[in-house]
Amino acid sequence: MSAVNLRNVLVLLGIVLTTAGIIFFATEFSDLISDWGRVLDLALFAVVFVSLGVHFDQRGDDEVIGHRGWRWLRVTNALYILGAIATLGAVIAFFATDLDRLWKVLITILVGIGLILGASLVVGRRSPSAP
Amino acid sequence: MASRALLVAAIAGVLLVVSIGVDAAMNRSWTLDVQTPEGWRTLGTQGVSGGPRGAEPLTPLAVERNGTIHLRVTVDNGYVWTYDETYKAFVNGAEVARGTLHAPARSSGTAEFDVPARLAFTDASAPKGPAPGGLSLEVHAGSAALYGFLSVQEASG
Repeated sequence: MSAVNLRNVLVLLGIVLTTAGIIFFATEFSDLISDWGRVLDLALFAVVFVSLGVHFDQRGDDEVIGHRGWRWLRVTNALYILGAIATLGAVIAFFATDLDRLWKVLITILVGIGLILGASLVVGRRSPSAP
Repeated sequence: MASRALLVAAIAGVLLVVSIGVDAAMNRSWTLDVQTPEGWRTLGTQGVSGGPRGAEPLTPLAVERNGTIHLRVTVDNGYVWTYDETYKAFVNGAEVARGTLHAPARSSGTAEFDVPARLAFTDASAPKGPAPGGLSLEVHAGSAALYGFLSVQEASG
């Protein structure tokens, strides 16, 4: 196995293991972690993953390598995927709180739309890299 | 020099550790007890040493068919803010009691309620004399759910 593929496999294993850890944390610690604490913790997990993804993206040493079909498996993408999984976990944990369901729906949709609009308005566009 | 994104990740990581630590230190547990001649006996718990726990083996409680069974639900509130929740008690799926469970910050609170003993004796064609019975209990207080089964024996005489 080439070093390139080994790197891809390690990143994939990292996604799987971290996802399993997040699921285990979200489900098996309800006796220790409060409902709202779980929402906060999963949201902070998402911030950590996404921030690390942005950091590696800015470093620019995450070149697309590997065989066809594996090229999406960059370190930055792996961290963004974990950020998305943690965010989904935070939303599910938020749904499990005792807040009124109307507020749950409103807050979830508004935050979701806000993220998309924020990405469109605030975050600068990046021109596609040269082939 | 560390990037701003790395700084954000580090701060979020520290906040995560603090959040989990504070949350773990501030725990809440619930207990469902029944009053017996010997004192209170625990039927079910939640949040005590690793998740929900069901009924403990208990010798049948002797009750009059027309009497009541006295129960209590207790919350041990480790948080630095008060706990106020409406609790609902169910016997065999039907609601039998409802009230407020209150506990001050870092303290415990108790709510007591009665259940008609006749609910334990569902078999109307039971033979004369002391009859065995049982109550399937369920108490919900906020996100907490307590379950327990109480065996009863009709008091003779």
